[in-house]
Amino acid sequence: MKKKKILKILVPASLALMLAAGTRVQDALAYFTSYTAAQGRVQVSLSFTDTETDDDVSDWTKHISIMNTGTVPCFVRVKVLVSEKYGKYVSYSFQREGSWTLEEDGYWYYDAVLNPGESTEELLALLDRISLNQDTENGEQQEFNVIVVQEETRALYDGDGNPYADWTMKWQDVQNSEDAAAAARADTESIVDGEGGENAGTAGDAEGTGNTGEGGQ
Amino acid sequence: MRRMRDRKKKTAPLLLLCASVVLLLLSTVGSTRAALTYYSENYAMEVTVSSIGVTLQENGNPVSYRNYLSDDWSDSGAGELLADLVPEGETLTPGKRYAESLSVFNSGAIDTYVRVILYRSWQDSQGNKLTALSPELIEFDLAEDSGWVVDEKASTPERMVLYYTKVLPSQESTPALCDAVGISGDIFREVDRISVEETEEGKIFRTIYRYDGCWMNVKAEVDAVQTHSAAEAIGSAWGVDADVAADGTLRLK
Repeated sequence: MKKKKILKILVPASLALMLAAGTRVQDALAYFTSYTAAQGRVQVSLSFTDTETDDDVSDWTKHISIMNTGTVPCFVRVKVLVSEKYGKYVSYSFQREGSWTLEEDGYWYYDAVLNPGESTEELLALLDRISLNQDTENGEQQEFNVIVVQEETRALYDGDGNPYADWTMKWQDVQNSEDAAAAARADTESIVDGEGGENAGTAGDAEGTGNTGEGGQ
Repeated sequence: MRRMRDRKKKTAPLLLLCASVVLLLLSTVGSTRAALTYYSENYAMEVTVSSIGVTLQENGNPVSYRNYLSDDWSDSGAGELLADLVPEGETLTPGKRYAESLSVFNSGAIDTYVRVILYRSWQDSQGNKLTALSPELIEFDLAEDSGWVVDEKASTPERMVLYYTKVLPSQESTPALCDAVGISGDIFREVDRISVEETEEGKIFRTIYRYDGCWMNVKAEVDAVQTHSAAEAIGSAWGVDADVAADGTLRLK
């Protein structure tokens, strides 16, 4: 009797359960869906910029030119250091008019982005030898250096793809680097060209210490 | 004894008869079951005449699809994105924007609602995810007033969930959900270290960037669902509560 009672409950319950399960399955299957996906990746190359400075001297003129020897476009600027005493004897001209512009910070800025393999037009630092000779005592030999400090910074791009330079970029977040202090002084990747400059005579009055440049600051 | 033998002789055929009837019944039940299954499958096939399908398009070209056609799924497999992002001979330049127009084409026979989930991350050369690097430096220029909305609640720095709020009719495309992709110029502020090299000419400071050599990885997943009983279908398929206005406009709750 007991068995019959249990069966009477179990059988309808099982049937109800099966029906309920069947209904849910049908619901889930009733919605039409589709799915697709795609994926891709591109490598980022942030290799540092590299340049070479050319500053040959001929005809009492220093021909300053910079070549991008790296793999990414960059902007360049130079500072030409001449002692105050002799600064007035140095004048500047350009291989292409307007290619170099002297800003208030004392840097000459090249006006175009420099692509890998490209060189700037020459910035010409000309020594006025005649004036110098007039101002110096007869037969006295003068010697001084013209030092070129060159800096480059990689080209950044705005949303439209136009390149621009950000010379204000500071590496303030650099931590745990033994060169952090030095880096903080050097806004950009920089090289100091310490080649001695023009000899205006003899009897040294050397200015500058080219080979010990500190990152162009 | 003889009676017993006679009885046995009579019951044997009877038993055999019963057994055959049972077997026959069982076989019939079996057939019925098979027939039911058969018709059930037929029924499903008839339904799929109104097939569903979806295709992801990059710059107007299909890159992956999954369509239910001719009683079966037709699937492109995982498509490839960004294959022509950077012109040949160039490298990916931070700050610069590259044309990346992503849209969805309804390649099925029924109207659908669609959504796209955009993933962005950094990987090493082996394809391992670099979780310490910021996905937000990978930037998408999302299209404005295109009918796509971002589900901010479901989005994370690594994942963006976008819903197309209108019905996507069969054989039509959505407007592009994004126009371009690029890397933020702020990537140059992420410096790993500065190296200093002493040369005859002076000191050379070189910046080693944290993201140098890393891979920008982008993945797009597209989901499509029927428009019939849309709110229920979206809730069931996508797990999202949504309202559907009389004109078919989708609004997330």
